[in-house]
Amino acid sequence: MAELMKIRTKLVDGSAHIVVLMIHPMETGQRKDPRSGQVYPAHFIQHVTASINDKPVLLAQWGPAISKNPLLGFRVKGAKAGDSLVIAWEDNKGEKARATATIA
Amino acid sequence: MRPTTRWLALAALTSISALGLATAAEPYREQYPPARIDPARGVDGDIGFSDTLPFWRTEAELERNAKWVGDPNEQWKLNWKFMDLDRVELHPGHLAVDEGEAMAARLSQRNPAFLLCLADGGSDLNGRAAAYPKYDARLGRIVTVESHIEHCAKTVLSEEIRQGSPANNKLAVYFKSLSAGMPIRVDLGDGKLMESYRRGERLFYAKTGQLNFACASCHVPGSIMGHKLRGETPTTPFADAAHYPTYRTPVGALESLQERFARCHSQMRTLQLKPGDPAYVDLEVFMTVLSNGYPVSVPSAR
Repeated sequence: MAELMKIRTKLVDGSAHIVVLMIHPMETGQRKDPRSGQVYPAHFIQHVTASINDKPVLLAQWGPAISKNPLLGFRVKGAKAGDSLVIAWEDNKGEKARATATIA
Repeated sequence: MRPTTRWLALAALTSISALGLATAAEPYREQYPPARIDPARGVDGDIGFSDTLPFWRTEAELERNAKWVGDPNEQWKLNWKFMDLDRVELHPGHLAVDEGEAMAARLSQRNPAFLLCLADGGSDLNGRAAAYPKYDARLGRIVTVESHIEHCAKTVLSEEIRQGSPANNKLAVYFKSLSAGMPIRVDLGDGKLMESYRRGERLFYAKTGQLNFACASCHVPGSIMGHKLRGETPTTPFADAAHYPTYRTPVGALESLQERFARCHSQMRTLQLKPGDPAYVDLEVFMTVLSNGYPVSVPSAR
């Protein structure tokens, strides 16, 4: 996989519309392999943070109810063009990902 | 028996058996009354058909009519094309393009002849997918993007990348995304392709299954098209081939046009065929000719 997140930003009337597509299996731990009967181990994102210019603007605690390859959209008031945006997540296995973008 | 008469008798027998075979292979099917569709007009054939083309022909028109999205009486007129506006610019179809690109790079590293085969000997894949399906004289059959990928993988890499498999769909999405925005140009001058079109057209009107539905039962003027069918409002079949293979949100996976046919068939309570079946190839030719002139819009989500 080339990248673990895709980010798009757009400034509309002084607020930044931010959309993030995360690439993650989001296994609930409830699903079984139909052939072997083995449970797929749970593997889902638990914490998501977004910060603009190192200031946190969004903290989210997620669980297994979130879909595979989740799409997160939110708006931040007062963001300006050129601000640096950092999105980071951590899943229940301790895996981490971080992506940066510039608000345009 | 003299040799000449024997030959004549044999010829008569074979012609009878050939006729018998044609009728035996094709059971009696009721036909939905055909609508007049002129293949030469391509997507413009929708004028005088559903007459919704002006609402979704261009992006500007779609933007103008975006107010209809969510309106149960009006939304069908947009033929779901508003989903190609891609307002969020992010859906798993885009991921599939990346995955397909990485896969194509990996496969061509193993043998550069793979990309050469995909490009029919050309230097790149750009814009080539818009001309599919087409008749391949060497193989003696109609080739779709998916069957072309399967064929190249088998002949060059001796690897099975079957039509309808996730790997094949990812490669197909990547291949078609390189033609995004280019008008579909299926070659109508090819006699073999037109034969396939006529067979596909016949299948479009042929009723089948427990509910005795044809495609046309819901997708021609005067049918359910534009009216409620349980929770859905069937739309025009024009330009529908342009966005396949597409990421299907209800399925949570990529789906090729022929897999979509199979899903329709299961909903029509009739036998589902495998992707690559000659009947589905003919139907794909028919559907793609109805999209002729409309730009390829892959990746997409539906």
